[in-house]
Amino acid sequence: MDWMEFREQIWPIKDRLYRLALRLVNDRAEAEDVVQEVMVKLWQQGKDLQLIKNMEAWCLRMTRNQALDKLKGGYRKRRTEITETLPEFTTIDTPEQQLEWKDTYQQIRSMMQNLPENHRSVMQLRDIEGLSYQEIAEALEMTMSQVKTNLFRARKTLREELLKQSSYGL
Amino acid sequence: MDYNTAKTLLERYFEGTSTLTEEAELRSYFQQENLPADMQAYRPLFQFFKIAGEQKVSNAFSERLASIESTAPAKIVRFRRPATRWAAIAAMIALALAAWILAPDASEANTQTAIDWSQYEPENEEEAIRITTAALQKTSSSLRRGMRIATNELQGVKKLVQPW
Repeated sequence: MDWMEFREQIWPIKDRLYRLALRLVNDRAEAEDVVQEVMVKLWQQGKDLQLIKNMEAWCLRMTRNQALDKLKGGYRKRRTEITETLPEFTTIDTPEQQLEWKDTYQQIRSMMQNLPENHRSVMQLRDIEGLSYQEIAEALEMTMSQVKTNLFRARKTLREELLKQSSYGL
Repeated sequence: MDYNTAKTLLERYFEGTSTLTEEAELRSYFQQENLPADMQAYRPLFQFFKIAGEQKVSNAFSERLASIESTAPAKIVRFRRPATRWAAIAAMIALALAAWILAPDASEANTQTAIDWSQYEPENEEEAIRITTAALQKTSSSLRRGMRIATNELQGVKKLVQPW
């Protein structure tokens, strides 16, 4: 595979890889490092890359494994630590609403960070990336049943947290 | 989407039985400003999903990725191993030979005829000592000869397995 072919296949999914890495390592710079390491490894596979049937699933799998290796290798951030710039919710006009939105975003993000990794990864790929159960199963090396179970448990946990927060006033 | 449909879809969502299309419809539903009171708790969740899905790598990082092209595939260097397998086989043969040389000759033992030891019984103390000393010297000589042979064979093995 030459460089142009590599770019055509891999470039369109780099943001998706980045979002998954970010969900796992919870740090923007580290997430970008993960994606870069994955890209380098892919490029260095050379012509073997053409043998891969489902490139996106392969890349997502590599990204998840690379991110988990990074976490095991001593890089640890407190799961609720915020190290990235929060995205702007552009349809909100007033500064007070922006501030309220940022607070809400941080709370939801913390809830997700507190989920077990397998629940969090499945939720990321389904609810944020919009992948099918089959695509998620291939990417995360799970059975369809495991994907559904992990997703059910993740959503159940977040629902309970949301209702709890709502009763206290989110 | 009306309230009842949204409520049904939301239950399906949390049961894990909703389709991708239904989930997209829910996300749209929760973008609206005015929601029924019992649905408001879930708005932050679906808004979060929408915003989180729009995050991208930085421009600086995109430029960094372009430099990947210049990283050459890593060459795998294979060290040529010395013929350790053949050396090990030769060492085994040498040891087997040594064991064969040192082993007592079974054919000699079989051809030995019965000895009448009574004719060799010492008649006095001096003769007994002389016979015993001679026997011990013979044994010692055989042992030294055996050690010499074993040492020579092991030297040969050492030369075979020595790294070049």
